[in-house]
Amino acid sequence: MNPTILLCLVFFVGVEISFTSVIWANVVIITISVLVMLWHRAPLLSYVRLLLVPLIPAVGIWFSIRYFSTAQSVHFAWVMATRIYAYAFLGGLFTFSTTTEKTLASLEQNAHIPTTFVYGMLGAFNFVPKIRSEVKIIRASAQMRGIDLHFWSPQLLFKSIVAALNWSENLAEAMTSHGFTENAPRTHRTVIRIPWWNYVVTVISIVGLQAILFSPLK
Amino acid sequence: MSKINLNDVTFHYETTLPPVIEHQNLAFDDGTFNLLTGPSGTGKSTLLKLIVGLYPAFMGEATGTITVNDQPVVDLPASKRAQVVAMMFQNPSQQFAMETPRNELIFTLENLQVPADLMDARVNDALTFAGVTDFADRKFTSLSGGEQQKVSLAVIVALNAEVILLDEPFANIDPDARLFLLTQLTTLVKKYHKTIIVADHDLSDYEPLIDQLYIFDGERHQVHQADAGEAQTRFAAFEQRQHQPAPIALPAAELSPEFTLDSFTVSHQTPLIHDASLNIPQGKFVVLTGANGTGKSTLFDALVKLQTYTGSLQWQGQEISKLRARKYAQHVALVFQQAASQFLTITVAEEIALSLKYQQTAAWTQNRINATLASLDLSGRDDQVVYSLSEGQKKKLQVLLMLIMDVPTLLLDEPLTGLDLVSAHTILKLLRHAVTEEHHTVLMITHQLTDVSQYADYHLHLNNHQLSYEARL
Repeated sequence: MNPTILLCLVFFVGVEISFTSVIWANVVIITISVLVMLWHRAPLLSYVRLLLVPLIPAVGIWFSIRYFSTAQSVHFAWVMATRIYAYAFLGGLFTFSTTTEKTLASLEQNAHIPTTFVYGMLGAFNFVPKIRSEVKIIRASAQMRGIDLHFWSPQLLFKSIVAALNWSENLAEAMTSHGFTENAPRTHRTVIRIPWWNYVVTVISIVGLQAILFSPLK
Repeated sequence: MSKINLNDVTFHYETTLPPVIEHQNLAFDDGTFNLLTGPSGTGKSTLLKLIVGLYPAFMGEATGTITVNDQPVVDLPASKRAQVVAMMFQNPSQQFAMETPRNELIFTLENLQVPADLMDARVNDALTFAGVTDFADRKFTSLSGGEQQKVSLAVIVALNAEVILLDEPFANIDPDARLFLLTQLTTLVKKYHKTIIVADHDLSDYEPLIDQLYIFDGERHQVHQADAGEAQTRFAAFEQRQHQPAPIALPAAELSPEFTLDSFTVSHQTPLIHDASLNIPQGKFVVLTGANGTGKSTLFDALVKLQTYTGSLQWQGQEISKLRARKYAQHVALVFQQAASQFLTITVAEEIALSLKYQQTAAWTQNRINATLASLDLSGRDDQVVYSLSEGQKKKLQVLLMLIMDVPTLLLDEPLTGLDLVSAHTILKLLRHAVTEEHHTVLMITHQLTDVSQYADYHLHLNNHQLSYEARL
């Protein structure tokens, strides 16, 4: 699906389940997310991570509501616990349906987000591995001067900021010298379109969600 | 006809600092290959960045006008300007915004608003001309310095810029890539009538290629065009200054080793050292040489646990990959090629105080430090911010800071870069003293070989993926 449409849909679903309390809806969302992830052949580890990371908050909130809230509602405890998992799996659904590059390109072309923002983000993503190796060098160099820097050490932060400022300057110069002007019109080698079925899927999803949320059967 | 004109140009990084370029008038002719030379740190990069319009947009204050095709550069929007003047930077890894060469070229052409149906042909032509086709879809992080500079050339070709500026483009690349790039640049001038300005302090191979030589005079903050006589003198002087090797001893087999390599293999983006087996002796001053990009710094990274390797690499009989980093750093330390990597505080005095606080022995007293600072011409700079020192001053301070630490084994990566001969001698004397009097081990990478043989014990050379001791330095 087109990343912009998918992002809007995921966002809409996320907001709507925040304001309703239907366990079923959360379970359906988790199931659909898992199916989509299976379709995109997400690695096994990603499911494990999606199950484990929200475990503590989910269990925590379940116990808080079940035993320590004024109403002590079992139903609401399950709503909150499944809701946390629904958020996590919606994130998984989006992550495995697209890539950073595709999402940013779609935001530029379909959502008309300013190009400065789009390419700034892209540049920042491409800098992540460099920042990692720089931090490694800073720590090694400090060790050679007898100092052990931890990730909370102000000196590590200071040196990283110096490096990051330097990079951002270089990146801006590199982009300018390759013809980039902030928010000037550009052509696109790959034009990203929104296929008609994207709208169909979106409408069906939203209608389906309303049906579950507001059906008398719940 | 002149292509580029500088008219009374003055440039300051900060209005409070002395100008880098002062009242400069200069013209570069259309369709010529120009070489700009002068000592490092004088302002060659600054001049190029002014012509390409990055300064004063990104930094500094400028007066006067610079025109290309009689049009002021600053008036052109970036997408138009990039098609008139393009630039290749010194540090190849810092000039790309995208993840792969092909995407960088597409990004560039999109910025120029090239229609989508013409894009692929233009991308492929540029990739072919610059010899990038084979690695067009690999990530930049996996490309060597030479490969990255080829990509940079591909971008310039895709831009089809009339003027091409190159700022020390060969500083981090191997000799083959340098030769290839020089050949392609010559083609661009001869066949496509481009105007090229290369800033380089290394004059080798240029004499038959260039049309004009320009010299940056750091004292007067001005560039002038050398006439035929002066150019000839310059090239001859450069040839003469080329190092004349002197004999040096080979290490005896019975020396106790500090480092032992056994079937040691390391690669960083490309295969570098292959299946090397030898000893590096303890308590000696060993110089490591080799062409750019052959893997000298990567060997140092492996020696300080910043780089993985295969085979065996031992320090005093222990495998380096298995040593605890914190403990090991008290025995073996690296003087980084980028001086700024070594600094942890803000001012010169703070840096020295920090080294004094953590020094391993009391060999360096405040008096000895003061005397050494004086001999390195660094006195009276206590309150200066270390990042604002010149590159040469940073290097000198950096070496001193690591000497004060008094670590038994010191690895130095190009500590003599950008130093004048007097400072270089002072540094070499300090290192020799550390070896002879304090029984330290010193292993030093350098390109600057003048008089080094007077101080060093052995010469280790890296060539063709192999390390070997040489009888001359």
